[in-house]
Amino acid sequence: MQTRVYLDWNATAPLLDEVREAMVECLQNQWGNASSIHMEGQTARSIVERARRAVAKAIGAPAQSVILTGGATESNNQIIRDFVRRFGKGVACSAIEHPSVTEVVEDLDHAGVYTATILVDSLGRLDWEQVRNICEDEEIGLVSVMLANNEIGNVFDISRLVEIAHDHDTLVHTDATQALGRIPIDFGALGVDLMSLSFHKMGGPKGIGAIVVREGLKVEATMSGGHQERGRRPGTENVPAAAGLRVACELVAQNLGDWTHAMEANRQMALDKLSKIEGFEVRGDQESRLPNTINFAISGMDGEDLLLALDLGGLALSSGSACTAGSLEPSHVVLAMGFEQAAAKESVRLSFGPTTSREDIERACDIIAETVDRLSRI
Amino acid sequence: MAAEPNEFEKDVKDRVVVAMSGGVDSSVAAAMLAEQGYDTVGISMRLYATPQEDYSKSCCSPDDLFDARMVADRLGMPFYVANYQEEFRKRVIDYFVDEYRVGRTPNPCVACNNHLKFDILLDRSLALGSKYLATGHFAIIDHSGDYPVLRKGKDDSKDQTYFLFGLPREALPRIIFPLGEMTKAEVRERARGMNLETAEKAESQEICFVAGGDYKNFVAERLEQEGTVPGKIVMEDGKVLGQHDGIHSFTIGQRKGLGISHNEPLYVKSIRPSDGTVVVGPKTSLAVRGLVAERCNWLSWERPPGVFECGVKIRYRSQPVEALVTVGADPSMAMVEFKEPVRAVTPGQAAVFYRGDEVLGGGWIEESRS
Repeated sequence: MQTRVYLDWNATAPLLDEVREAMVECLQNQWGNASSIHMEGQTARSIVERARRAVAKAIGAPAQSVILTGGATESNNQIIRDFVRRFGKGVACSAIEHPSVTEVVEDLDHAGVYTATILVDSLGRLDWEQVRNICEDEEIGLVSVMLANNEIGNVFDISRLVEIAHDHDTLVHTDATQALGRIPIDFGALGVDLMSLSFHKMGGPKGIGAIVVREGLKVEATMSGGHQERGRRPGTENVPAAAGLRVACELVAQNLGDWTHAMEANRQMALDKLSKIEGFEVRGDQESRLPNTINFAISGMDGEDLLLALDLGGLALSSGSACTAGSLEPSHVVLAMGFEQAAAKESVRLSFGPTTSREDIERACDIIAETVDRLSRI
Repeated sequence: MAAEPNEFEKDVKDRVVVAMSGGVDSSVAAAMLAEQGYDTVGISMRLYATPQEDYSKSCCSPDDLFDARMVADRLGMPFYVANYQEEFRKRVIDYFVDEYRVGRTPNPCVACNNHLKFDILLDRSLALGSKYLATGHFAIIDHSGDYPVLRKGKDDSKDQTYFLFGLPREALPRIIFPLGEMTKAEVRERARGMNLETAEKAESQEICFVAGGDYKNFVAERLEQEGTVPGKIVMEDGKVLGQHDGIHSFTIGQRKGLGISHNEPLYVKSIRPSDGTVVVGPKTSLAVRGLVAERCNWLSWERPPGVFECGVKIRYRSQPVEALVTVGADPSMAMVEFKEPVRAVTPGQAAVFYRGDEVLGGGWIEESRS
């Protein structure tokens, strides 16, 4: 059997070798509790603190601004809920945020909090006039827009958002999960107030994430029961994940330029090959986008049919989001771009990473072409 | 032992898509095919969201799907959940409610087989590179003749051919029923022998999408928006015995819950959707001489002979009765004349035609003929 090709990095990525080695080393030898005062604890503590510094360095933020959490979903929840609880103002987000933002905002809306949604056009671009109106709205105190979208790969002009928002004393939160390891992130230059991160989309460990908060602002814990992370996130620190995280972030800092370049070349090659397929159309903003993501449709072909057939053919892609039982729902992102249900169900996402080889991409394109050809003949 | 059609034995590389419900039957069907060396792919159809999971609109997760997934994993099969909620709602649930609304008694299992399993799932199996679709039905496809023939399963008490009359004839060569030659007890034994997680699972309830099984309540709730067809309850001679809130609450042959008192037991004899009249009579009055079946599907012939004798089964839990069937210029319609009068012929149910254990075809009962 030929080896499979995995092009679903925006869901999760294979662990980078160096990350895995660091984690195994930690699981074997540094299993102490980072909050203990003895030597075992001290060893674990330094792993966590080194991880914090590595995150800070990778995104250009001071180390003390980084709070480690259990993942970006937790970070998004904590940032938005804590803001509403302490500031008592409304929140807004774009229609194509990750569900860990949109559903939090929906929950708050149901609970009577003032909320607003920024709509997008057919390419998934923000409606800037609406952005301005929402920022001017005195009841809105926080706007949340992701740095890069997980499904269509759009990269948003967060600096522009910050400029508008800060003119009206509105805070800005950005979920930068999909940007890390793909494009440069400069927390300071972006000027955002709050950022969420996770690390497993680029080869780091799962089960760990971060909140980054600018100087002068704070995020409080939404759970009780411990003083970890300076009281911001109770619970025993995930030391092995922190060990892996540190290495992942160091690799980002060292290699990002090369990675971006290699992914960009692979993306262009994939597009050249795929656009030869009849009915192929690419979705999302091709002007401002990640170097690793292609959201495409084969006109008239059900995405679920295509995905399942590709999977059996040895290629892992994805579409929309799977429910608990594993059946597919059309992507809320593609629906928000104005596509009808049937057209939204055609969307398929291909996403890869820095260790994806040129050969993998070529083979994936061949499998897609063959499968589409077979399906269109049924 | 399992049915091992010669055609499939020849080429074990062929891929087979197995419809897995998460029950013991389809688990064993999948396991047997995997054991025989087929390249098996499991598919569960997600058909409806159960009410207790409404808390999240995108989430479903009936435990059955997890059971199917675990069995597939144990067998080393790829496994997918296909989302057919939209089609199921239209083709099965809406149909189910609509039939009750107009005073007919629907058969959702037949509708599901016709429109979901042996239509879109059969198409999906092609998309997955498989000519074949296997299910855990107790039925046999006999490949010994020139063209495959559908026969009753060996376990007479579990035979499911009544629900399968609508299989497209041209699809017969592509369908595999691995359990046809087994009894239910043997299936359970196999499941235990193979340590399948589903070995001790209870039989599924009759109407899968009605939680708790109270279908009358389910229909009544759905009809709150659409409106019901109320009317009179009358004797055959026209004597009015009472009023009712809607014909959806009645089925042919029903005795309980009529809400009328009379000196002898009364049964629903017929239902007239045009004015909502429910006609009742004593048990003896239920017997009819024949029926008209529409939307017929023929399995043993491209086109049936004009007149033929056969056994006709008019509900799942009854034996076929002898009858003469006449098919005119339009092969989708059949006139059935019973040798002996038959009680409680129910519009909306299936009339399935048998010769011995061969399933000739079947249709939907449109009306009875006295």
